[in-house]
Amino acid sequence: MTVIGERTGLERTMAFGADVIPRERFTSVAFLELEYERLWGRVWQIACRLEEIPNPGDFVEYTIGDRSALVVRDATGAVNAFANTCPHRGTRLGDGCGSFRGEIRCRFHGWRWDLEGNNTFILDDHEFPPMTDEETALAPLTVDTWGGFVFIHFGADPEPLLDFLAPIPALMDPYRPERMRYTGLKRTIMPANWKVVIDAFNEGYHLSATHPELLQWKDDAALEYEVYATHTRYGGAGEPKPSPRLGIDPSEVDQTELLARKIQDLIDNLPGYFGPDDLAALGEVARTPLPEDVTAGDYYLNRRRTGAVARGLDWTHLSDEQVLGGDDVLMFPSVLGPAVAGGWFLYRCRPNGMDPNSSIFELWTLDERTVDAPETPMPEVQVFPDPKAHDWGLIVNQDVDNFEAIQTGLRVPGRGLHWNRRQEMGVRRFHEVLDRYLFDAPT
Amino acid sequence: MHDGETLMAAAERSGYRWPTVCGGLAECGTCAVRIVGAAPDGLPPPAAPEADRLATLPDRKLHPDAGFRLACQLRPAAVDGLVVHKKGVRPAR
Repeated sequence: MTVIGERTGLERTMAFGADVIPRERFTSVAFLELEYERLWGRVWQIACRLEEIPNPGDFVEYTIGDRSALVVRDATGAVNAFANTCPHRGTRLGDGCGSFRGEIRCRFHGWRWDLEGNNTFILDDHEFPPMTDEETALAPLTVDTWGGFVFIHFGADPEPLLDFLAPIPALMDPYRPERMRYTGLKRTIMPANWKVVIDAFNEGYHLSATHPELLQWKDDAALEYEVYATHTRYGGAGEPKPSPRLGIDPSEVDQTELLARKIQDLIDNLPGYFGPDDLAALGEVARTPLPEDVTAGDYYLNRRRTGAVARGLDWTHLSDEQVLGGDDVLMFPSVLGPAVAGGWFLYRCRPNGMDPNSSIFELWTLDERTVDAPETPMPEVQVFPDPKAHDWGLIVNQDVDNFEAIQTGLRVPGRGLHWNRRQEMGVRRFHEVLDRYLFDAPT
Repeated sequence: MHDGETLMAAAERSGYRWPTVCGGLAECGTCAVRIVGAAPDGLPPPAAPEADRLATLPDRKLHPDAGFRLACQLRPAAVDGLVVHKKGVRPAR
């Protein structure tokens, strides 16, 4: 018999195979330490997007706990990643993001490396004991890209990125994420464990209580959920339709009003969901009475498709559901959010140092560009010290307002937690996969 | 209607299901009704929780000139001539 979770001392916190979920997963420092060692040290994770490092020498520093990676564009245009530490005395080499002018240089004693990490200069090198080229080079990390995202892996011999990501590329490539560019990038510290935040965005079960106004046009009961080997998805329900929870008969629905509600809610209350070019056209649709006998869904679909043609985007290969409702996917472990034709609205959340009660949260909004669109400078990263002091738009505000209450409630000693078998199946899957990393759970 | 009874409670007592998500706590806005014509004199004004919720009710954008109230808070017993419009009110099964 295989004993899972051996040696960690935290077997009691497992979600795998558990009917009730221990609160300690979200609140314990020991659990967080185990995550740093067994998850973050051994999993593919998104470090940045390619557009953040367009030119040779550009770099982004990606940190997770004590680990820090330097992602660098080299002179050939390739992307390399290194442990962000000097092989001489350990100094951190890159801070945040920026550009190295031709070479990477350590501020402490002036050692230098080319953009592929090979050492090019050691002051008084004859005074050192013999060192190999490997010892004086920057320690390489495995790096790969998909969909415009740069993924890195801190461990040895990772599985191929596309094997790890399956079936996300097959699902999401039709949206052409590689042609998307940031319209916004916001960052804050959220007063909740990183998994509280991931879980909150990984189900539609919270819509009726947290976002009740959406039920006027969103059939939350029709959302479909799927779980995969590592990642999860929910989606569908793109056709504008009131939730059955409201009891409204289809014959009572005013199609013009229904569509106006959907479009106006998304424009006003989820800023960034539609790109700037979409916005103008859709705002007009929201103010136009629908022709007779045309449903809100058909009209909206048609207007989105003709709008895309006018902007030079090819959506002919996309299904109606991909244009109407899209897919909300979790790219385990730290990035998730809804994509719909023309863009992707993404949350990234990861632990914040050794504090299990807070996390580093980002909101990325991406907009599809035409194949020949000129590259433009990416927007400035906006950093907000207090997430509640910033207006994220009503829908995200409603989620943000929950986080402190969830985390403080989780810290109250209490019984184990419960997950809805259907609508929260993605939440359970996420935790089971986490347990695969932490405890070798046989998922 | 009984004295002091909310519109939603009266409907439920009479065998109807009224749309709500929060169950009558003035939080979700799902029970909101649109007042048809002029609001009759003597209709009690919304108190704080109802007024707060009405201030951000999405319906106001669609019908900027109409009056809205929450059926879970509105107590119209002593008032004659109030007509409201609401979709989704159904006989309870």
